[in-house]
Amino acid sequence: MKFRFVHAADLHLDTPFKGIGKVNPMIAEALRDASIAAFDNLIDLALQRQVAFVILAGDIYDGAERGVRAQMRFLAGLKRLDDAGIRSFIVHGNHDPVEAGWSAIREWPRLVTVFGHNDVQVETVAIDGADVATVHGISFAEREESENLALRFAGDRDAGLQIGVLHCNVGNDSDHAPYAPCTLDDLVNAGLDYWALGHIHKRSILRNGHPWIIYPGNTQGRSSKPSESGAKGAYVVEADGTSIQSVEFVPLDAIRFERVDVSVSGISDLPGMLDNLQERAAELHSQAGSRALIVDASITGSGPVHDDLSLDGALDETLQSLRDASGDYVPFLWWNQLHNETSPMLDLDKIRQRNDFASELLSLADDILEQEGSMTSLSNELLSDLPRRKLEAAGVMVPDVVSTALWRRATIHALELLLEERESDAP
Amino acid sequence: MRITGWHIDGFGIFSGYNVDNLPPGLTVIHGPNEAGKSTTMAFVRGVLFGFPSVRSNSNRYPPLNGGRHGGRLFIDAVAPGDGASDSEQWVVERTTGLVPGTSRSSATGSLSVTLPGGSPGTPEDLDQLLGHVGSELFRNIFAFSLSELDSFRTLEDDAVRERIFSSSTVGAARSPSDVIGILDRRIAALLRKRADAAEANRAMAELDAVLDKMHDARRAAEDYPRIVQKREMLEQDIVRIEDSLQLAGRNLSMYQKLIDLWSDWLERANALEELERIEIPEELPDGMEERLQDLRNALHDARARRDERLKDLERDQRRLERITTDDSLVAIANDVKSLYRDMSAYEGYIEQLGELEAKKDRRQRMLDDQLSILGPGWNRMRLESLDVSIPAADEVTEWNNRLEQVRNQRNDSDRSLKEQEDRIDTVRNDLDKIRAEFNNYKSTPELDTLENDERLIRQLQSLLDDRVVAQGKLEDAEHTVEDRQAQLAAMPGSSTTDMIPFWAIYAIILFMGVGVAVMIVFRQWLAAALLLVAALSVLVMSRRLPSTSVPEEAREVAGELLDKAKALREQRVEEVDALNARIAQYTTHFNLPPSPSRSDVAERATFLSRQRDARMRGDDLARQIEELELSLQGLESKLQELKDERSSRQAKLAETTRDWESWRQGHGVPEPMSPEAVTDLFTSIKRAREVLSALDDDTRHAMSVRQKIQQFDERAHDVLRKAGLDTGVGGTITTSYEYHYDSNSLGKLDAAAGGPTLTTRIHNLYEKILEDEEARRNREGLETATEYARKEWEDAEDKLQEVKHNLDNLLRSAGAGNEEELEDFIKRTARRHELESKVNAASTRIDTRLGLGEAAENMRSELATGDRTSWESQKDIIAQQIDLLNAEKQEAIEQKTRAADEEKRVAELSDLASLEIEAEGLRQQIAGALERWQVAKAAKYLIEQTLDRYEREHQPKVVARASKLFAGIAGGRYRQLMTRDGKIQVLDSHSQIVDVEQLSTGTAQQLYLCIRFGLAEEFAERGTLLPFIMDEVLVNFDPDRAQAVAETIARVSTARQVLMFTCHPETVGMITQACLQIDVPPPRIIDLNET
Repeated sequence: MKFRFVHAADLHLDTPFKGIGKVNPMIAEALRDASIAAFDNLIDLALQRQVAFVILAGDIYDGAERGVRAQMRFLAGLKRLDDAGIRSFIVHGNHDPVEAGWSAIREWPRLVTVFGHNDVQVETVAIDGADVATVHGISFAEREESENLALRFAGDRDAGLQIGVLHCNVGNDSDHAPYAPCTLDDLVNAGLDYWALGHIHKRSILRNGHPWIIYPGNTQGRSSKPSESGAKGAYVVEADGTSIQSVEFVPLDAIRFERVDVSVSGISDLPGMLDNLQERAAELHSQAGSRALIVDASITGSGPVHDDLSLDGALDETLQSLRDASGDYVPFLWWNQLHNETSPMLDLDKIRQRNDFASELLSLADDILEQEGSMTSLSNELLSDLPRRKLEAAGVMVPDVVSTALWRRATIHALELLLEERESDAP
Repeated sequence: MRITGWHIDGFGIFSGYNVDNLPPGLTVIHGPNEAGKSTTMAFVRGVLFGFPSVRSNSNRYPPLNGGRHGGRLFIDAVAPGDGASDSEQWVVERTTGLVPGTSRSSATGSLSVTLPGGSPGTPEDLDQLLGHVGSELFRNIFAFSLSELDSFRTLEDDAVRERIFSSSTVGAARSPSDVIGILDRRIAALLRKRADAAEANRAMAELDAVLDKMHDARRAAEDYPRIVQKREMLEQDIVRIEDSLQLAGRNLSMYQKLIDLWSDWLERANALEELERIEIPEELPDGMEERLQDLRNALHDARARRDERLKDLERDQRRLERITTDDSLVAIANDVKSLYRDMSAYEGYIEQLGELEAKKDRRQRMLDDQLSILGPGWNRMRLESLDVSIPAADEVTEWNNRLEQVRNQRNDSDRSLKEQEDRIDTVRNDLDKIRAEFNNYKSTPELDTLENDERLIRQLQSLLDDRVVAQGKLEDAEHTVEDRQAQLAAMPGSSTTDMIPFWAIYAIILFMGVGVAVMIVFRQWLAAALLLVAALSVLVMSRRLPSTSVPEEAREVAGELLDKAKALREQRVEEVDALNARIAQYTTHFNLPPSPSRSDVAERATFLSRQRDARMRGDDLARQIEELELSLQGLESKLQELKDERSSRQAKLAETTRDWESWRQGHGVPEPMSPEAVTDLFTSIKRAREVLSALDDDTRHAMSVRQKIQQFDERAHDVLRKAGLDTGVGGTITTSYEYHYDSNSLGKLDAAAGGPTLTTRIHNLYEKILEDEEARRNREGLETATEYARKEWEDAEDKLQEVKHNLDNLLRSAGAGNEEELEDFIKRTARRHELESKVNAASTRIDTRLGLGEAAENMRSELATGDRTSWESQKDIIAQQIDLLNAEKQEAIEQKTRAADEEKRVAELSDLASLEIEAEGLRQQIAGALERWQVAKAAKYLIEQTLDRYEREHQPKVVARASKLFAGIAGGRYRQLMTRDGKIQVLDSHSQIVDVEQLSTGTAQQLYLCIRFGLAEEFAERGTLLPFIMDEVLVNFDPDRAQAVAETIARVSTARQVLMFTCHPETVGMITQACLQIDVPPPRIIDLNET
């Protein structure tokens, strides 16, 4: 029998966004509602496609201290599915483990199954009286789940498509926390037909058959990081008996994060750079369809624009100019940050040959960058003034060392200040 | 590198100035103040590093003498002693585009670098040639003036250190300490302990506040389930109370129904009881009561109508009896009405007659006046007999005009005649006067003769003048002869001449010509004046030069000159004689002495002039006489014409007068009279006849009016008599005409007579007739109305009887003996009907409230018990229960509302997402600030470390070199330089440490000069060999030290090029001497005066 289901994960309802600078109230409101709006889109998708069931593979909420509003909206969405006769299968992940946090939901709708954390739980899905699928799932008991939960999925198989629902880190992805670590082989050996995974925010199909192993990514991006930017959504899986016919990614995000890189090499002035950025953003906004867009821009390269951007407040003013120029976009296009990675038109090799103060400074910087130990000890010295404990308590990322990139920037900055022509021309 | 020369296009005073072949060693550029030393130094620095910008306050040395602002430096890149060739020469050219003669810059200028071999170079190539030494560094170390050398002295220690060891050696545009300052400020602005204004601190404070809010939100969220549970319990309580309330409500409703229905139940029972008691004989037909009442009403209405009609009849009869009429008036009614109609015309006639009589009186008086104007003998009859027509009057006017015209013409002729006679008299008088004057000039000669004599006398005067000149020349010639004779006698000997030599004349002409040309062409007045003065000088000089003396030939020459003088004297004598002969001819003609004096001749000339004037006056008078005589003839001829014309006009006047007299007599005007008088007479007669005619018209009109009045009076008296009324005053008939004519006022006489006037009586009689006619018409109307009223009354009586009959029939039909009995029957029947309705209504109401079924039957049974007190007591108890339950419910609702509000509030409060977004924004801001803070800190570290290393490595070498040089210059007074904590100190011969501030100005300058030499060596070691350019650096030094410094400079020049600028010749000598002293090639001396 043919049927279809939706596989989503990492809703992170009421999710905090990362790397978002100060925004105006309208943007703030849209950001606040974005994860919930994406979830609403997910429910709409399930209803439109008339799926048999919906799988949510962990991290429904962003934290144990989940918001009331998010829980109420989540419940309302599940009720809509229930009203339509669509079953829901849910596991908890590291962000919303079973034993942490609280629930404002006192009673789940009838067709909702929340898998427990003690053992892999098995639920059979029947359509018109015939069992078409068996869904296996287990939740995280607590955040730092170190057990390879995939191994628990071994056992007898019932009739229909065998689906495993798990929040885990396959292959120890270093960009994500190593919770419920497992290997691809562990999953393959479990003898299931489809692994509905969660945890990794960048969507990926780890295996496209025997079994299918899929991370759908999160439903709403949270920053301009590569894993968080671009289209976000869920997979609609078409099945026929125990065979997967097709998987289709459907974007569900309410706000899309994008990043543009523009090189100022060959651009003579700031207006030229602004034009370039705006063209790129307009293109992305067009591609995003009816979604709002939050754009981070990296400005790289070397040219006269570097000097303009290096003036006090120039970067902020440029950012504001971009925001002003994008005020008419509907839905909005918000320029989040400009990362000035431009470099002055300094020929470092020539400076090295000059045999003067500048060359000595460059030589010193080269020495520091070459010796990691030196850089670490210097970092300790330079960063000793930081109110580290206070900043960390407030959730601010405090660097342990001054990064190589920052040392390079510091070197260029020092040279710029030294070599900058002063307004002095008395003979 | 060394500078081999330069070409200045235009810079300060220099224009097109070249210097070349500068040696690799020492060059001294010498010149007085303002010769261009500082300019040259500024030029060299400017070409290498750029000229001051327009915005700077520095002297830009605009090209005062033309040329493009800027120029070229020729540079040899090879170190001294390496033997440069032309092919290795660099050319560095820089121009500013400054417009000559102004301080305006047309462009920022441009740099052009030409590499050895002629290929173009770049600014970077120049930078490399200069060893990346910047403008400031070059000025500090290599190219400095006395003031700049001394400027170190005024700096603080750190600044000196900066200038000498840091800035001066970094090859940077900005000093490291400046950069460190910038970075320190940047670091402090980003993150700093206890600095609220720092960006990260500020954001951190905001983040703390947001985190506090988030903490509150989380705590509130934790309480959420308890709040939800409480709200749900309260909702259940409300449901339970509402159930109790529902039950109590039903009981209450039951007892309330019993109470409510009790009155109906009771009413129904009473009605049934009464019904049983009421008896009636038999059922009355329907509508009996209404019919009885209708007949009663009809009977009442019929009676009232009958009585009303009877009253109308009696009233009409009484009114008929009151009307009376007079039959005698009927016969005269028409006459009286006719009189009454004519009465207003009659009164108009009376009034008109009075006005006519008055008018007649006025006309009679006017006629009398006209007759008196015409004079005695004029009466009505004569007036009527004379009819003067209007054409006759017009003819008289025409006569009058004609006579006036003829008379005026005659008078005009009289006036013209008189004026003409006056003119003739005037001309005659003038003629007499001119003739008398003319007689005085008759004997004067003719004008031609006189003019000829005047010409001759002028010639004579001219000859006399010529003779005086000729005599003068003769005297000169005689003097010349005497002089030549004397010169000849005085020879041999020397002589001078006043003649101006030819060369001087040529020079004067040349100078003056050029002067004038300069003045005209170039407007250079001063130059022209100078040339003219030069010309004068030449003149004076030439006059003062001694002439050449030639004694031998002079005598011959003097002899020749004497002969020539004598010949000339003879010629002069002949000329005088010839003049005398001609003069004699003139004196004969004028009868003057043979040799007349100039006054004689002048006197004769005056006389001739007067005679000529007299002759001309006489001729003029003769012409006037001629003209006047001609004029007189014309005037007299005209006078005769005027006299003839006057006679003719006088005759015309006499004839016209005669014609008029003939016409007057023909028209009956008896006495002689002018046409104006005849016109007046005719006008008066015409006016008198018009008055007489009007008077006759008025008299006829009055007669006619009086007849109409009399006719009316007679008709009136006739009618009055017929009516048997009084006809007038005192019982007699008096015509109203007389009566009114005499009295001229009707009312007054009526009042005086004590009775009504004729018109009043007619008026009264007329009123009486109208009243009588009205009474007759009223009586006829009343008679008709009375008859109608009688008929109405009879009809009403018939109707009354009919109604009575109907009533009797009704009573009989009901079996009642009378009306009262029938009424009782009706009343009892109605009561029964009422009670039956009540029973039915109460039953319906009870059935409606109770409905059907067992409960309804139970309620009916309960109603049948009639225990209302018990019901009310139960109802009160239940009502109290309901109140209690309602209060409890309200309390529960309020609690639930509060719980729901709290739930909502907590839900909103726990809007962690918004707070997270805000917090993340702030974290991002802090992270950004931290990143920039790290960059600034690291940059500062790099600069500090580099500076430290730089000073550590280079400073001791520089000081050691400088120390050696300084000790040599100080001649044992100071032994060594040293640095402590970056500060320079000096060790003296007694091993005492001396601070730079304690040194004299000169010594400190020597110290700083030595440090510069040390630094330059340090640079040379690092591959940068630049020339020294010094301006007047030795002037503050004592002779010994100056000599020592000069030798040091000479030594330095063996390793690098040195350009020294000075205005002191002794410095030039000192440097040259120093070179000889230490066996160094002598300097090249460039004297700026030679430019």
